[in-house]
Amino acid sequence: MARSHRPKPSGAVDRPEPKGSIRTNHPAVLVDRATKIYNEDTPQALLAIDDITMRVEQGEVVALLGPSGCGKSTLLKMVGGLYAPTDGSIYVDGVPVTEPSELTGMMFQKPVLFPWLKVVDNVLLPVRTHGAKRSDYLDRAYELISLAGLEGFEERYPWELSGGMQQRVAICRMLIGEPKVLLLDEPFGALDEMTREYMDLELRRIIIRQNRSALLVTHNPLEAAFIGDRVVVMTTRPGRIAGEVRVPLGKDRPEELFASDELNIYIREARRLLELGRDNVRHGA
Amino acid sequence: MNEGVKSTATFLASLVVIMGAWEYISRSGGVNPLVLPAPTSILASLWFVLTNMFSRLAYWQDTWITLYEIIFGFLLGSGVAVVTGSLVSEFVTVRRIVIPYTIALNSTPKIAIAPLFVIWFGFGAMPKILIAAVICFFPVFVNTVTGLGSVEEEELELMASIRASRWQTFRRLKLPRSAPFVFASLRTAMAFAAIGAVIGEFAGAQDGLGFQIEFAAARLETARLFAFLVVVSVLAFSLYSLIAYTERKVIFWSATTRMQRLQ
Repeated sequence: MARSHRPKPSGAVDRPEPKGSIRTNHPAVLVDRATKIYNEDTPQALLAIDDITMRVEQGEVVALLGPSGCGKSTLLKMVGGLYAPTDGSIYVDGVPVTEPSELTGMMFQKPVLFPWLKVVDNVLLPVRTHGAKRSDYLDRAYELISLAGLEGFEERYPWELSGGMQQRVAICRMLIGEPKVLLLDEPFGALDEMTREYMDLELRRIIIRQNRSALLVTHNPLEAAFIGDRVVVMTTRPGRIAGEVRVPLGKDRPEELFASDELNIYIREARRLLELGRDNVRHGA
Repeated sequence: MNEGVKSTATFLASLVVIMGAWEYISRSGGVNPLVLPAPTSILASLWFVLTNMFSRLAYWQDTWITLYEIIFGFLLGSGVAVVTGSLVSEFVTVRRIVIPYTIALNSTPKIAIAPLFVIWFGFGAMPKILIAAVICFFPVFVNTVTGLGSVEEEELELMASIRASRWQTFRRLKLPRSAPFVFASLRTAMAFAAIGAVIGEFAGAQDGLGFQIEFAAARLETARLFAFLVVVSVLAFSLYSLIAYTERKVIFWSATTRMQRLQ
């Protein structure tokens, strides 16, 4: 996978931690000089990610903000083990990522629910796929569905639900296997503005309540600043880090924050970094 | 009057007009009844066939044989098609080997194979079942491959992210995804199986509805021929309805099925 032979950074180990170690000293996510080239060694070679180093601390929520085509989804999917980096290394909880792992849970722009499964069985899909008995996880599934505000919809089918409700089901499905790190790929990008803000609120509440670390990809500065403890801004093709904004607005973030002046400060700072990154590559609107 | 009653009434009215015209043409002497018997004489003949079937069990054997050939031909042909289609869609090597043969098979007029099968397998039910199966195969095969390939990139990424094995991805995602495609072809296949069984009986048989149709034709008993035609059609329609019913139960979740339920 990774061709580099650089010495490993201090946060990395060679062997997986024994199961059951809840807190480690490793960052939740460590991206170490990762590069991704599509169609390498062909005339169509495309440098999507250029030498990115970043981290997500334990219990931290990081928003990865960038314009479309900046490679932020690629970076997220590399952390999720769906794609391999061309160069560099990625660690989740200190463990090198070579393939999808039970340490991470993913959520996509589309809910990707199976219409032939009831809501509760969609939630149970990840554990059922690994041979777990339905009855062993049923209580946890009901608990998560209720946490996501979908009580009473357990036995319904996805096509009976609105887009926002479907994404709530996807949140539950991501959480059922108790991953330590949540990877969210523009999860509410297809929802309308009002539903999206409400879902941001809910998502932040669930992540904090469940005490997880998260990396969220978005192209929306408001969403990034509201959800993220830290906003990492990327430039367009090739994707590089333009800068980052800390958002020290506490763990619990109320709805009022959306329209507040204090959040606006960080949104403006994120926008400035976005524009900076855009000017560097000089692409026309 | 609601829509359903209205459309049924319109259909029945058209049926009465067509049957009336047919009856008139046959009775007026314009057409020889040997060529086109009147609907009433067809009904009389059908009555004769049915009463014989249930009172003296004559023709029962023929109906049973044909039904048997259709069902087993259908099950064999579509079963092999689903399995082959799955292997072709999962394994490149299998695809490279199998695809040319299926194209060759599809290019052969299947009816022309019937006499060959009779030579190989005799006058019993086996050649009819095989012809029915061969005709059923292609639509189900094509739709299985298309259906299994209809999964979306995001769905595959989801399955990868939850570390689903290849088999799990097949069973929990691809197979259900392909079901609407497969069922659409099963309806066609059922009609094809009926054609195959009857054709097989034409090519050489001692019983069966196809045999009775040919027998009636040879003796210019056109009304009797029509009666058997009705029996075979009712049989095929019943089997088709069975498939359509199963389809609604199994793929209740597909957009098409849901749309039909709303109507």
